[in-house]
Amino acid sequence: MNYKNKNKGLRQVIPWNSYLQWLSRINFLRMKLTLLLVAAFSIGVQAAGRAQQVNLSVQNASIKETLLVLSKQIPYRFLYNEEQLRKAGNVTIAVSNKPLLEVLDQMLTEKQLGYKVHSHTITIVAKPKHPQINQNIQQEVEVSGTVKDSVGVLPGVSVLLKGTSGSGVTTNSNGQYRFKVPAGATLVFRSIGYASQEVAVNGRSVIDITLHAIESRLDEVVVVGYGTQKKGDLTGSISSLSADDLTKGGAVNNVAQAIQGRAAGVVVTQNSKAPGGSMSIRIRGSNSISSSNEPLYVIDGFPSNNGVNMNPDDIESMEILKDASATAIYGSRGANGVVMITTKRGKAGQGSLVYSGYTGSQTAINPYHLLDAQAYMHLANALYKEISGQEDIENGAYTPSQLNSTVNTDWVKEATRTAIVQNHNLQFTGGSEKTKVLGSVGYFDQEGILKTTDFKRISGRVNIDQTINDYIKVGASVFGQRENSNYQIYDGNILNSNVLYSVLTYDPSVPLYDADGNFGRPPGGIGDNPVANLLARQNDVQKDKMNGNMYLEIKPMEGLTARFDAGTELLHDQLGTYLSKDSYQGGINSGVASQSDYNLTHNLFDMYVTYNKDIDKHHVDVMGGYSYEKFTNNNKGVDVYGFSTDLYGYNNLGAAATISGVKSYKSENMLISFFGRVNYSFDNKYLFTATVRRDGSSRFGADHKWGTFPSGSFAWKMINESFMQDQHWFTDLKLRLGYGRTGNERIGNYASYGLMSNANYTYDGDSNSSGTYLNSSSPANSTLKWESTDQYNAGIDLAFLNDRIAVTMDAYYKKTNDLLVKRNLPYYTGYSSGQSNVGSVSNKGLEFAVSTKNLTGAFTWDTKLNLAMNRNKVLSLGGESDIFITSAKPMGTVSEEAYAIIREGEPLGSLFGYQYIGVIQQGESYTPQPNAKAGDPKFADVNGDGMVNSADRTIIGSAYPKLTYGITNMFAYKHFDLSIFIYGNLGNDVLNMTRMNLEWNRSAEALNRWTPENTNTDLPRNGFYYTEYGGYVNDHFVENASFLRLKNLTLGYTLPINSKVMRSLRVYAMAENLFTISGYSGWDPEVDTKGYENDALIKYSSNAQTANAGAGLDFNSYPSMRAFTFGVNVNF
Amino acid sequence: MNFLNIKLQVFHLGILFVICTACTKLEPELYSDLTTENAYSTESDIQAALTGTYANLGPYPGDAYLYYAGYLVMITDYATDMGFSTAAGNPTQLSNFTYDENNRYFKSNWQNMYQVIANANELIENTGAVAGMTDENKNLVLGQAHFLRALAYSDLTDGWGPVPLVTTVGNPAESYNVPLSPVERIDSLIQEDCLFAAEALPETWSSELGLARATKGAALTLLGKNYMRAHHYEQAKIYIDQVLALRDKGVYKLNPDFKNEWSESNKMDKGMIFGILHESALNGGEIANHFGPTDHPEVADRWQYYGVSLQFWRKFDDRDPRKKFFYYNYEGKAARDASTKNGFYYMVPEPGQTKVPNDTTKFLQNIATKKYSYEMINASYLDGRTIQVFRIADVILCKAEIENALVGPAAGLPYINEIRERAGAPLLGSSPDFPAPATKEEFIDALVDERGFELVFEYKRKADLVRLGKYEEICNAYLTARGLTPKVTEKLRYFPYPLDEANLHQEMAAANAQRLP
Repeated sequence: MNYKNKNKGLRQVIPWNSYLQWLSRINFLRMKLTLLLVAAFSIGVQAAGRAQQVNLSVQNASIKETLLVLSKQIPYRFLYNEEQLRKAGNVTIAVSNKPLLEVLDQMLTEKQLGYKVHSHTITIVAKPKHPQINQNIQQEVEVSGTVKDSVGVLPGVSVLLKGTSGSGVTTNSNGQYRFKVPAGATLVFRSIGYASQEVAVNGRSVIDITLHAIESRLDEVVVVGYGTQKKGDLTGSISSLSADDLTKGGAVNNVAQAIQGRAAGVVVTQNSKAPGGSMSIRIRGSNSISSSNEPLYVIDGFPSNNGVNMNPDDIESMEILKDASATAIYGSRGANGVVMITTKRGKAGQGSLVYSGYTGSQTAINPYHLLDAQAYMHLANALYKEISGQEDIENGAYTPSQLNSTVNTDWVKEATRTAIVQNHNLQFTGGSEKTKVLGSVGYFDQEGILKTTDFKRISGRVNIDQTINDYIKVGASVFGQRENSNYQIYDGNILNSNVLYSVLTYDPSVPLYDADGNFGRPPGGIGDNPVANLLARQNDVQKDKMNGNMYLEIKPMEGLTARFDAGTELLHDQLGTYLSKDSYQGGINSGVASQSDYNLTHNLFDMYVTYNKDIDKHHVDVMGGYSYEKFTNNNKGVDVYGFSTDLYGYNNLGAAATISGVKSYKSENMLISFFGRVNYSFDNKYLFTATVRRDGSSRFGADHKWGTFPSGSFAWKMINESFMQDQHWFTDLKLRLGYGRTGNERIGNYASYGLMSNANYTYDGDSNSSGTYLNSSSPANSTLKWESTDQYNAGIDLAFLNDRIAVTMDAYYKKTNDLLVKRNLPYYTGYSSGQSNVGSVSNKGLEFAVSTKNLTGAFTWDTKLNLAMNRNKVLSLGGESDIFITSAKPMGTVSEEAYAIIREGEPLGSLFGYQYIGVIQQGESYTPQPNAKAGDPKFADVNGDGMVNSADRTIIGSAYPKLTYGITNMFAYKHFDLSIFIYGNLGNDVLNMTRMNLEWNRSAEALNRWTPENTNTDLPRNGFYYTEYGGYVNDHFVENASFLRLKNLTLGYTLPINSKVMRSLRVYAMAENLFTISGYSGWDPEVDTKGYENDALIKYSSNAQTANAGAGLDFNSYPSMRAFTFGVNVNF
Repeated sequence: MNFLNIKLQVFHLGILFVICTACTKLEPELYSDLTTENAYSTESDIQAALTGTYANLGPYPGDAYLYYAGYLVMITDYATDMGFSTAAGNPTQLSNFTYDENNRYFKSNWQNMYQVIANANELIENTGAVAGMTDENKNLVLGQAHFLRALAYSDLTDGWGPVPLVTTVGNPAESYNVPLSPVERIDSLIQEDCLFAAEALPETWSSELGLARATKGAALTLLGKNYMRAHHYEQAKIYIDQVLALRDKGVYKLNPDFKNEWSESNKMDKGMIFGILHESALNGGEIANHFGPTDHPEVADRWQYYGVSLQFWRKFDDRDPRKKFFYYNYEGKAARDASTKNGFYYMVPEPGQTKVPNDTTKFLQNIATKKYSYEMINASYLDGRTIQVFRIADVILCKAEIENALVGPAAGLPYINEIRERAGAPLLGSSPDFPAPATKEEFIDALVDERGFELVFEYKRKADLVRLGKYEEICNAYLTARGLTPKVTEKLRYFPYPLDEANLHQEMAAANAQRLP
């Protein structure tokens, strides 16, 4: 196994054994490594890149062995010439907790050796033959000072006298040093992770120095599926985000918000602005029609569909695997991309305690001009007369007595408030060489701007890594969080419980409270006023998540590592609702309560073996593994009514007189996988990666349980070619090509079975009998199989001007076949829809990311920009007809109408409806609408058959943006830092269904409707609900929702503190949503009402198909808000 | 690391791989689900599937509002002179005959009817093979299944005429474009099903088995009415007479007070032949909510979603007590503003009256019936009220119609008068104000009114008007009285096929153009 070096000089390649060791250690230490590196190379909140403290005790050991011992304690590899080390002989040294460089100096100087520190390597070199300076003849002075970085003081920095290896001191814990040197000497300041600085003493006695962190992008280690890779060695398309990218100053409370606008090709939409509101992430467009398009989350190796809601302060780094060559290792769950989340872990050496927190206030931004009560009632009476047969009826809606009333309630004002948000995190890290610990707790509390709505999360995490011996390492993570929110239903339906529907449509002539102190309601009116909806009902949801997992790494021999992971994740969601006797329904039924529990148990076991080997210029990594996952869902719930008191809320269901419903359910699914990967590189120029995963899922039909998902990719590091050696422009140039096939298995657990539903029936009006009937959306389909996505990717990575400009561009094409579609079945079969594999969808796109260092020096200015374009197309529906996506009813008495369509040749998210061409004027006869009256809406006869009917509906908009972008600018000067984050969408449409009701009878716009006196208008006389022709879903309500948003502006100041108590202190002020440039007329252009339907819990049921193809609807969305926040970060 | 150790490690790893390779079981356990494979295995399964089929007559037990729990009224009593609404969208479109194929009431009722059929078909296909079940019990189940299927097909053909005739269990994914069957063909199935059911089912059920199941009388009623729809009055007479014979036997009985038939405490009146019962806790319906009055002092907090038109209500003679079986001319419960405890006054305007008499009066737009909120014993949000599908009063009026058709008006008159007498209304022929019809035609006019008065909001109006040949005439008169264009023609007797269904079915899509107003 020994490899004899044939070159006598310094090797170009690293000695294989230390390289192997390094590689395998990456597996062992990948968390730590990532942690250290990212920390070291970030302009972090924490004091990054503290000098490495090492322990060493060897007697008469070879230098090579000694370096080996050292290398286990630090994330650096040593490059050396074996011959040279052998010649230098053995060393004896005993130090503890000394800075690495000091130890190296101590060890190497006497051997006539030196070293050079690079970003991740330390090269041992022969000691330079400098002419000896005769120190005796120079006058000595005592120099002292403080060494800092951009954040705080730096302990453990080596301060050396240039030209005299070994002669030097290190800074103390306050970053201070004191050193006697010749007056004309030059000092060298060195610390790992920082650029060395040389300073001539020139007779000064105080020299304060600020070291600058080295950023070397290409040496960053990124986490990939079942392993890590150097960024420079990637062959696939991966966006990498560090802790700072995610949380610097921003009031983000989940992963999705943290990613928003930061990575090209990753579109994050906050479907709802509600506290804890639903978010969706689309990586490179939507592949699937009826399954989820949300990415897979892998948190420290543990796959999860529920990764989005975690405390961002626990995250060390995030990698977004975008193309199939990167995601295929996750096989059937890789098609939507994978978000790899690495949490922070403990590190050896000095402990650290970090507190970060902020508090702020949020206020609603209201774009609507609603009519006051008087105007509203007069309008209602006028509209009443617009109904056929009622033309002459006076006071049809409001009596003269009502018109004289002075009540005028502003429901938006009554229902909203200035809301407080606060966040606190405390985190400590520490440990010894063998045991490393991280502990953190976090608390987030956001009030909603809608009264009583809120969201709280408390989370805790302990990560432990323990090295047992040279061969075995174990670690464990325990994580738990609880979220509590008082939620309301914001899903666009017009249910009584939908607060937002009533906030905008409720009668302003109704007082908030009536004379008796009860919630106001129109006489004979049913349902609650908006404030009653908020105050008279409890709607509490509590979501608990517990995750415990453990790993064991065994290194039985050089180059071979076996890793085992086992863990379980428990999700427990509880809903409790209570309608008090003050509410409408609670009043009728003397209090109505319910409780529901939803549990998911996710067990995971996996194991994989990694082996790597170098032969000459060839390098090979091989990984193979197996994983078993089992998911068990169960839920239960009880509905009751009839309480003697409101005091119990939903907490004493046994006190109710009547049980009106009981339910429970359990289901399971299993996912079994075999996977493997080979990385091969030649001469660090040509890199090949091949992966394969074979997944078996219990969700599919008997004949199609197993699917195979291969990938292959290639990268050419042109920068390493000889012809690139003489140029000075490029510092990086790499081409990447990849292909892979991934799948999607996220369908119902028993989707291939013909399922039955429960019912009961009373044959005597008194007792109930249990019954079963066909579940109309689940016919048997034993041929149900995988949806598979083939993806091609080509990319280029460029860096110019000494890395001051770095550019990544990718182009991709994805085609998804055997689409899992809920296809419409004829109702006469007894079914309405069934899951089946039909047709295909393509996505193609371009992504562009650039980061620049515009200004360096005292005033720094960095910019990160990303742009992405995605084009989606439904290639085939396998001969099926169009599939329609239906809206909620905009009001109780009208039909749901199709507003989006899945049609061959068109993109998903195609809005669908009538073309509105204005108002029919007096005396105008419009042949396709023969019975229409003046003031009626006029629709285009699209098919030209002489009449307007459902066949004239056509595509009237596109919900997915043509271009998405995000721009971050960061400035720093002295102790100040400023960041400005802008993001936006271009070229997408939204169907504004909220406006449909407002413009008809509620907002000031309604006064501009067509009347015989006001004919120059495009608003019909009585809205769109009474028209005999066409429908309310038409392009009058389709709006361009392109926007540019100043999402976040943060100004920070790092106090120049240097005390024994505190290492650094940063304070910042932040404004969110300062402005949005958009022509959209609703609350917020960034909205996707149907996106909520991905949220199974709140909805009780979900419809991913609707969520996917039905983007671009705004109905009863939560108001958007502006926030001002003050925060502080302290590092002790 | 010696060689042996490496071998050992590799060996251990190998074993682990073998173990894991064995962990490839992918058959999930179904804990809470039955599948179509095992849901029809035992007698108990079959009984449960039968119960589920009944439940499909008013889907969503616990919150029933669809099909027979309410929605059906929109395609049977609206789009006639009876039901009226100004609620935006679908109700108004039906009231004004401006509907299109995208009307939710078309889709929802159509879908629910076929769900009953699909579940009945499963029973009919699976019951025979169940082991350990007596032939007698199989027959009882099959009788009910055949009846329920026939009822749903009867409702489908009332609404849409020719529809796909599905009588077996097939693969839904291979069932596109099943041809429309002519009504005559479907009538044959209804008749076969009803004959089977009438043969198989008892006259009454014991209370242990559940009183409100389909009976012989229910099957005979449906059969008789099916022949009547096709104007085959001779055959109809056979079966209607058999139902009346059951009355003579004491199986059925007209309640002396028509109102009591609707009392909530009287869920299974002897006047009911077939109905859908509710129990307010677990099997509640939104029946009182939808049909009950708004802002009424006695029956509070109801929605008056379904109400009869002013024009129809005015047809009642003031001397007919059934006119008072509505909520009208009352002072509302809610204080109209903070200065008073008094409510608004809700009145029925006189024809032509356009101005309210004072500043606190509101005109009623439509009038709520008391049928579904009379004598509430449970004012809960969801109620336990009964929906009657067939009742003996209907059959007596069928008898009147048959006798008029086969013999003449004099033969039919006693039956009309029996109903009027029970209601306390003046008998026809008793005074010049209430003349006896002299001709078959006059009799039909009287019958159209009488059926309306007696069976208002019992899902009969449109079928009655069409069968008696009065649909266009009555509906156009009604539109004219409301100041609208009389536009009802023979082509509107059938509704357009639901848009979603027509999107998947070429024949329906082609037919719809002819069915729109």
